[in-house]
Amino acid sequence: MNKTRKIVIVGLLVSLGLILHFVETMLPMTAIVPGAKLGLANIVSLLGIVFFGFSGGLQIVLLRIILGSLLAGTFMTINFYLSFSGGLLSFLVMYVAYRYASNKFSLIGVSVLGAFFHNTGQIIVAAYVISNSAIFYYLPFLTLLAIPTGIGVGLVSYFTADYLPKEISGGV
Amino acid sequence: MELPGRWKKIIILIFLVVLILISSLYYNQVSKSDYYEVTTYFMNTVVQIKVEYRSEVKAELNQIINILKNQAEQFDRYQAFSLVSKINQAEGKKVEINKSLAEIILTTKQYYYLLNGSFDITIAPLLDLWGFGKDSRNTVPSQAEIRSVLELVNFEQVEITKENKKYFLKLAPGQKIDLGGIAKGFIVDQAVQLLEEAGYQHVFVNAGGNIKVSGKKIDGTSWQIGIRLPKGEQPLTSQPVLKLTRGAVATSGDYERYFEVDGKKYSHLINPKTGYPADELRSVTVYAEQALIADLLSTALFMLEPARAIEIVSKIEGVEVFIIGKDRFWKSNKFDYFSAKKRE
Amino acid sequence: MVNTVKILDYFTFYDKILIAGIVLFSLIIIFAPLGFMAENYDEDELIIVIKSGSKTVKRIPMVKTYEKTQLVEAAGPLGISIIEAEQGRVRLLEAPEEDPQKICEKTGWISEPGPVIICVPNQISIWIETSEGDLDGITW
Repeated sequence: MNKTRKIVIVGLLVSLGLILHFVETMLPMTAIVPGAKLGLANIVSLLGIVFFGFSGGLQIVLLRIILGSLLAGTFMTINFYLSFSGGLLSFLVMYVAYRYASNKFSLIGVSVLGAFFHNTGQIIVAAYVISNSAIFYYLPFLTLLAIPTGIGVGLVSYFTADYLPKEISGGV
Repeated sequence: MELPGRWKKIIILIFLVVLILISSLYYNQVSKSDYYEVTTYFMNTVVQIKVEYRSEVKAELNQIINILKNQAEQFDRYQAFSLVSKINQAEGKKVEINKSLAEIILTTKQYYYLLNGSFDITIAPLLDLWGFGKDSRNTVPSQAEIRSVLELVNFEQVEITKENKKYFLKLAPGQKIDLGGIAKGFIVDQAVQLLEEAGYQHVFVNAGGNIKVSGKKIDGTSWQIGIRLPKGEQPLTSQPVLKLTRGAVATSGDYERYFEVDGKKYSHLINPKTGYPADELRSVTVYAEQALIADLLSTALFMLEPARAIEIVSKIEGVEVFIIGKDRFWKSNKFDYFSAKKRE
Repeated sequence: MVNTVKILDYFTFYDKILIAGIVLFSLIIIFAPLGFMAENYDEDELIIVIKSGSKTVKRIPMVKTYEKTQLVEAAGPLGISIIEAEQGRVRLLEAPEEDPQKICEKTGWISEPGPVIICVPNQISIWIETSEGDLDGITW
């Protein structure tokens, strides 16, 4: 894949991730469990890993989180640290799972793992910020919720990657 | 795509950071439980002792608890062979007592005069009449009964003499003493003293709500002690909390022991001057250096007008009071320092 | 439209193991009696605790909320959060304007030990505990 094409696709995925992120904030998921998220933006993290491997995927994740928080006016605030820690942890876990265990896990499994660690990472940071470990009360509910959202994200990523031409997706 | 070497390092670094975060969370929880705690039962109440852990702590605490139990037994007028029983059965004769009891009674007598008689260890016959002694009765005694018993309640007739370094105590015939209002406090003081002498620096002792601490908690913060809010009629919306690193606190409340006749509550806090239970207040909490004083004053001040109680307390160095009435509360000037409001 | 049988075909064996594992993990944590979840309690003994960071702002006995509605203001890094307690329950009534998501407002009412209202941005947390709680002792 040539360089220009790569830049274009990274840019596309980042903006897609931003839009998904903002769509998500409009959905009343927190009514179910406080802090719950669909994790739609994980779709682009996952696609980034599939298309570009580690460095490209990391670029997409970092750009999405930083730009997203700049646009929302939360850069360097607690919200930023929360998405940063959750996003980074889930990206690392997804990368390792995809890279070294893709013969065992499909994109669904990878994405469920990502969602699981996204929530765990966020809760650990949140517990630190508010110095109250009582927040772990919500962990099991969030991890339970990570299953349907993880499956959804995994399926969407799978279909998207499958739908795109082989020269972009590199084949899934 | 191959994973470049430097990325591997970064991954390892990030995982290490996460690991450290998790383990320090865990460490925080563990370090809080570096106490050794014993809960035991004597003086008709639960006694809890908490100190920092060290290897010989279990044996040391057992030894201290045995000393305390033996001492407490001597002050129990229902123990047939206790020192107090011996005094109560002497029928006007002199009884030899030990130094610590002599000191307690002398201190108590000072407070008897200071409080104008609202604390009196010769209250035993009155408590028995009201059924707050060994047998409960759950009926209100007649005025004549009260009047006749009230004559026996008079600390001034208690004589303490010292002969050849020995102390003797003499009651008037028919008089009996009850140390219920101070024994717990005294034992708590003893416990803390023994633990301090043994070298403990984080000490918490609680005998049925009579609490004394010595030193900060292991994590460097103060001990947080809540004041029980009486159920029903009372004015507070939030629980007052004391933060202590030394000193003692005790509370007397009308909810401890009481019986009801025709919808009226009769509590065990009987005024030695009138012969009737004090029923104006809900609870009185006293902070003092010594648990004995806190215990004594929390009982005694319950009998008084709150304004008078605060006036008395203001004259005693290092003593503060918090009084919960039915529709308002009172506190001495410096109690604010210890109350929950300061923590906001 | 893909039917459900077909969707299952996308799952590998290990995907299913992983999902079952996470479900089991979550359920065990939910139902295991952990320290912060009190099981038996008397409503008279419940206390609402409001914290800002690691500092306790106020402790309200639950009984008090039946007499009249309690409003408490708690200050955090973003501003003042207003907490309302009434009829045996408590909620975060109003988060500061600056809080972008106001997750804690959306948590709604809590009325028993266990769930926690958490305002991560403003560092406010609210929960219900039995009166012993983080006190070292109670004088009575």
